[in-house]
Amino acid sequence: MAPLEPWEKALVNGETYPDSVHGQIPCQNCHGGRQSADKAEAHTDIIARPSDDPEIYCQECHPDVVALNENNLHDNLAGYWTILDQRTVPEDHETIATMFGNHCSSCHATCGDCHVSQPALVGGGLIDGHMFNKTPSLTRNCTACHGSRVGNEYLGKHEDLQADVHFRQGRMACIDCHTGHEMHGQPAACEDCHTSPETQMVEPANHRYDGVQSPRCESCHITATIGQDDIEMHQVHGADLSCQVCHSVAYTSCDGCHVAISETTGNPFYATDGSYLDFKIGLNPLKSFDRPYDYVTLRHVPISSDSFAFYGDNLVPNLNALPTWVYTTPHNIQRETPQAASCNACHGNADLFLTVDQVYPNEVEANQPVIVPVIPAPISEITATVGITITEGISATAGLTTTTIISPTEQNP
Amino acid sequence: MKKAQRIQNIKTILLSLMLVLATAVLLSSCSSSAETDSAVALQTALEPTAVIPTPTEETAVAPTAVAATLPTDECLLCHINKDELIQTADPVEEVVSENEGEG
Repeated sequence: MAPLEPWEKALVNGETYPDSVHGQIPCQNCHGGRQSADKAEAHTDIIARPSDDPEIYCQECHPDVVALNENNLHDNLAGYWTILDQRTVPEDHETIATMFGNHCSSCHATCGDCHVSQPALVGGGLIDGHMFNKTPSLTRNCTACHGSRVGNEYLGKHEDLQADVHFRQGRMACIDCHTGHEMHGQPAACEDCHTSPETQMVEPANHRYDGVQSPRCESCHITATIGQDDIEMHQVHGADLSCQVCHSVAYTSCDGCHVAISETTGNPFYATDGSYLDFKIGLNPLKSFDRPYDYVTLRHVPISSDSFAFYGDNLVPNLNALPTWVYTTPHNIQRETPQAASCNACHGNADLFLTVDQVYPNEVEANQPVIVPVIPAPISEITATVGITITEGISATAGLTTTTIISPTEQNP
Repeated sequence: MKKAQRIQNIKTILLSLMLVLATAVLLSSCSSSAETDSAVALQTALEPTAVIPTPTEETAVAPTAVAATLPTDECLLCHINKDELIQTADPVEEVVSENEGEG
């Protein structure tokens, strides 16, 4: 996304905006400032981002949405604290809050960051001449922030890896799965998701993979996981694999993020030890009625015990409270993938699974819930034991950067 | 003989009078035609004068009418004007990011 020139960021469309609904509202009602032809005078007490205070500037016309704002993850960034609370201790929270304010809070997005301008995180700037867009732009809003992982995966920006089939063939935008209700902090309708016995005692989820999936693949691919289509692997595996285990390809993992304040500029910055494309299958650490999978895809997150060392010693004392290889849902879904090319493209393929030897020694304890103790045996061994016959299917194709594809011929002559 | 000559003279006088009258009539018609032409010419000459107030009035009205559709808000007057924004933009301070790796 090319950066906008300063004038582009502030240019209002004089043909369309004055006639729009929001264009009927005097500028000063939201932006403050003063009526003057002199820029400095006009910008006195200017409010550049009125929706930083949605209760003041948006509530009157959008009470239903603003009422949800305290649950809006884009606003409250609660996901960060879900993790930080578990890995840090209360006595350090004041220091952690300072760190958070310097490095994490820039991810906060206001109403305007999605509906009027580009997010402040990427420099802001009006998208469409101050017109308010009900549907945010995929590239100028959503992946402007969610770019290095989701955006690059979904749009196919990694060399030799195709874009997600939902984008490549369906041209689906984020909002086609992640509804406005979800974005604003509310499921579309309780009954849409809460169908299980567990819902008799539903409590608010405290983790993105806690409880009911929303969105869920099965909402569109209804027959896939209940074995009512003609695809043999769906019938064999049913719900013991998350969809991504078979249908995603390599995605980004990161190691060792450290944050600090620049001595030269005074600006906060971060540095990661590395990022790389990988594909790892591990045990499901959040097994539930709605996520019954034995195996899920895992992504390494860049937390380390000294990530916040700039702010003090031992600020991540509970690193092991959570895995550093986390349950993930890569956004690069393909119908055909190397690991699903045949049974033994996956079964017996040690490169695909997160085994203990592939975990940093200081992170083994943290990752016990996801480490695969014994990888699934090749089908030839299973058939020899159980006496069933599985017909090998599609031949393996390239796509996984860190996976050695074992062809059916080599594996099961 | 004299009587016949008198009659002839009277006829000549009458004819002369008729000619004079006819000439007068013709002249008068020419004169009125000329006057009409003059009037037309004058009118034509005056038309701009007569028309001028109209455009002047329109000119006077037009800005008022346009002003009704153009924003009177000083904020909008500037922010819909690309050139104005370019001229008044603050100089861009280049910020060198010290971030390393995927964010």
